[in-house]
Amino acid sequence: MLTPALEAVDLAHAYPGPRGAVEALRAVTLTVPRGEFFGLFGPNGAGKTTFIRVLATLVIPTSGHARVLGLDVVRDAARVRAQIGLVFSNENALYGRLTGRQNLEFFAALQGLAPGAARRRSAELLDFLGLTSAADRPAQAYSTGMRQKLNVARALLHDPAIIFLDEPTKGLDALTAETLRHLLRRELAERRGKTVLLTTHDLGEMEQLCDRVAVLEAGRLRAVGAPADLVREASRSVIYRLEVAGSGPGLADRLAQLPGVRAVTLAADGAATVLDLTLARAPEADLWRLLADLGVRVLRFGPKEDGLVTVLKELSQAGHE
Amino acid sequence: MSKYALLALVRRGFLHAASYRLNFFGNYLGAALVVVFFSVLADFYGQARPAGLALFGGDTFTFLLIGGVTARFFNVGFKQYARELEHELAAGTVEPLLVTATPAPLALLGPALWALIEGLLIAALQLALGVWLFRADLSRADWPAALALGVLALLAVTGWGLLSAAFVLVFKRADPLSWLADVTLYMFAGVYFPVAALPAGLQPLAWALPLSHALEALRLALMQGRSLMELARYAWILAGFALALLPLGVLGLEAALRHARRRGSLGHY
Repeated sequence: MLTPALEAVDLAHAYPGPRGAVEALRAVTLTVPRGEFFGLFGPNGAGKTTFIRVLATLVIPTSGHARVLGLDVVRDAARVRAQIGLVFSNENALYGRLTGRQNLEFFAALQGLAPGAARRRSAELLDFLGLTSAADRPAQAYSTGMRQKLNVARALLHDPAIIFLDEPTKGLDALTAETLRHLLRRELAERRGKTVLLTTHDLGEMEQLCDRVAVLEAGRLRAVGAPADLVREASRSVIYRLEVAGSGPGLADRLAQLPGVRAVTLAADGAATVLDLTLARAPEADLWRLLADLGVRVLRFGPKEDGLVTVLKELSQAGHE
Repeated sequence: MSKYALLALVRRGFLHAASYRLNFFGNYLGAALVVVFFSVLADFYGQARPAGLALFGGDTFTFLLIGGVTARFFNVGFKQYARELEHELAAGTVEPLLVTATPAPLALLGPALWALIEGLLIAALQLALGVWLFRADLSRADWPAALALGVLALLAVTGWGLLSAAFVLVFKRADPLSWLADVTLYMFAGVYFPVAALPAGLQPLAWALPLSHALEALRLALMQGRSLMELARYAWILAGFALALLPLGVLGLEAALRHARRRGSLGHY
């Protein structure tokens, strides 16, 4: 059996703080097989970036173990670094006064590439990421999107087997973010078979890119699974928002009597009526039949929040109970 | 692999420094003006011929030139590791450097390499200007001895520089150590006057510094042409400082790196 790309066993890390240690990771156990596009999802402070930094050898865990392709991140740190590429969330982590090409050739040499190979590889990646025409301009003159692409190129210089993407589309406009996502999914995962570990706050990005997702909350691993499975699981008591035209008198009471409806709350009343329905399962025909019988014109109906937000809230609530 | 990294670090340092054109050329111009300043100062005090200079047997200008050139170069060795590390921290490039295949100490200290090379070039330029334009008397210099003593002194200074870099990794600023380097170098090490000119109570403090020994030995080698054999006592003292300070610096840097990794503060500044 192939060694997994990434393994964490009871991984914990606490940052010292003025009022005692802040636990960023608490006994996280997780395995990511090779070739998977894996997402880390969670709110700010959930421990996503710390998890990536431990795997990238930048942070020594307080306890537990982490392995990259079977190599221990503390004992075999140098060998681990040869296997990974890290895209930082800070797109400014470049030498602004050097050109894009000079930045790449410099980091290529630090990755052990001979000068000729460094030049070729840098040119190849500049072309791959559409930066050739700007290659000889100082990086500080690049747009945010271009700098982030350069950041991605830097992580790929030594053709690593595993790539960590820490919020790679943060601060990018929608179009540039979409282009980058497409590039990451198609080129890295599908064509080159890389293992990718992604953190992002963009839920659509997570659902669009990842084969599986781990949900972290306050340093704890709450759930792992395919995004769709996690949403389905959490949808057992999803709140749906129903928006109908007009005032809809008695509608809330009628809806509350339907099987599978746990609660109905009037969110807004006026030209349109907005109701939040807590459902024990996905909406069924009864609901639609009732709405049709009442002659209600439905303006909008759907989960009140994005799927993964619901998952997060569900899991967070479960964790506190 | 480290060979490519080493060359790339030097090249990056040069490109970065050269991108600030005015500052880049200003450095060289400033270094040349310092030589002129030493000449004016020597003309002014030269008539007096201080008794302390008798040990070295040369003129005031050559004495000042060697002191100033050496101090400037060693000051770069003292401070540049920490200074460059501060710049890398502020730019957010320390973590990208540390996830490469280059060993962490080289990745952290390498950014200072160009400054050291440039420091050597400027020192050579100042000496050349001093000899050609202001007739500094280096005619009897024993260059191999000066080179050997310079290397030993540089090793000792590098140990201090590494400690200073370690200080930056932990506290994010090297000010206390830089300040100490300035004070000890320019007040006690005999840059502008011989250590013998210091009050008797301060002289032991001066001799506790490697640079005091380095400066005196270099002046004797360059002004009087003393050989390495004749200056063996200084060489041993400097080797002792290097043997004590270098491992201390390396251990300090490793400990600081471990500390920063444990605290997750490598990227902080």
